[in-house]
Amino acid sequence: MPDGLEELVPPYLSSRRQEIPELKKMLADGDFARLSIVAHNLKGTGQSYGFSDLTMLGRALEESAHSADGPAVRGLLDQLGDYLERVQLVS
Amino acid sequence: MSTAEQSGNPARALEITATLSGRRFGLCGFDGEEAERVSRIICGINSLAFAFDESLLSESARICDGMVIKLAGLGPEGQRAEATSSSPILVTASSQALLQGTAAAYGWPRDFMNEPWSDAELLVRLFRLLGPPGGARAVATGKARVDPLVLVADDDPDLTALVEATLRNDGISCRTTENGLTALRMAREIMPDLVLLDVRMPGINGFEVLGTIRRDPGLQTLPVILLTGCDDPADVVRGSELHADEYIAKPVSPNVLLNRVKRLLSTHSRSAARWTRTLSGGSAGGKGVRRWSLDRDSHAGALEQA
Repeated sequence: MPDGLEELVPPYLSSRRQEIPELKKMLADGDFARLSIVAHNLKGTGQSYGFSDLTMLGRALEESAHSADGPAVRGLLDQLGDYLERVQLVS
Repeated sequence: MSTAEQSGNPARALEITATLSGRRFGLCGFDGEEAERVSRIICGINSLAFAFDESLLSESARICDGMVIKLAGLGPEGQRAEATSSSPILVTASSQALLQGTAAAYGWPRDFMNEPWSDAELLVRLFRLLGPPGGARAVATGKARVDPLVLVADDDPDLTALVEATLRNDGISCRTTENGLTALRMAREIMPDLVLLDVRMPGINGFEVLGTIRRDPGLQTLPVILLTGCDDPADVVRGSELHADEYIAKPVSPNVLLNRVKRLLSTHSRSAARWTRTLSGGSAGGKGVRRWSLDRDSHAGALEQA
């Protein structure tokens, strides 16, 4: 992360953590269109904020949402939640 | 040799050219031959000239740095628009028309030039009207612009926050929006130096915004970078067909983004004289669209009838 931009990272991660319950509700509602949009944004920003795993998960999630593949989306959301619980910022 | 250089005072010519270079001028009320003459003079100092119909006078005055208007070529609608516009306007008219006070009582930047006028006089008048670089924008926006201004249009607030912080850290001002329609409106209002445009946005998408920008005489030379998470090569082709200046796939590193933006700002500034000049007919009497291409070094211009 370039100098001066580090302060953007904690709120970014916090927003992603808060998103997990919303994503699970979208899955429960079968709202794959909205899931796809959120996943698309995750793909587009994860690596830019220094988290290439988030971009990878976002890409897989977007593809699964496009295919309306519920079980695959559920598995990826579990992976995403697990990653966000484990990831820590090192200053 | 430009008209400014032909005036016989090299220092003055340099000052005039430096001040007027890279500006956008709207022409209104001139017939085809006169419009071409004014355009050639303006293109000769590396600025752009667009001819507008008088029905578009208010709109064109808003998007141009200054207007050159032939009073006798305007009908009542155009004269009303001219009288109420707050943009810098140079009015050409016969002495008799000026004496009759047709264009009197202005509180806005306005200058008048008797007909017939010389090429050098036109440049000197425009120079006086617009003042130092940034002067016209200062009149239009109430604030002089020092830093480059980038318009960022993306529906992902995390992305716009990162882009905005990246550019601001390097002294580049930013305005942001989350949808395409607002992006178009803002582009016309703030006249940014560059647009970073997401493809997938609510309302109208980035391709539609880009297409509209390229068809708008006041915006068509604006540098645009498409910034998108779409991986489809067809999107790259479409962006290229719509004359995007750059196409960056997300995720993008902030440093790479900054580098591309700075490079394009720099390139665009240097190559201003090679832009395509488009003159639309309107009240100027022309038909269709005429395109100027101008060689920056020789100032040689070519005019095509489309």
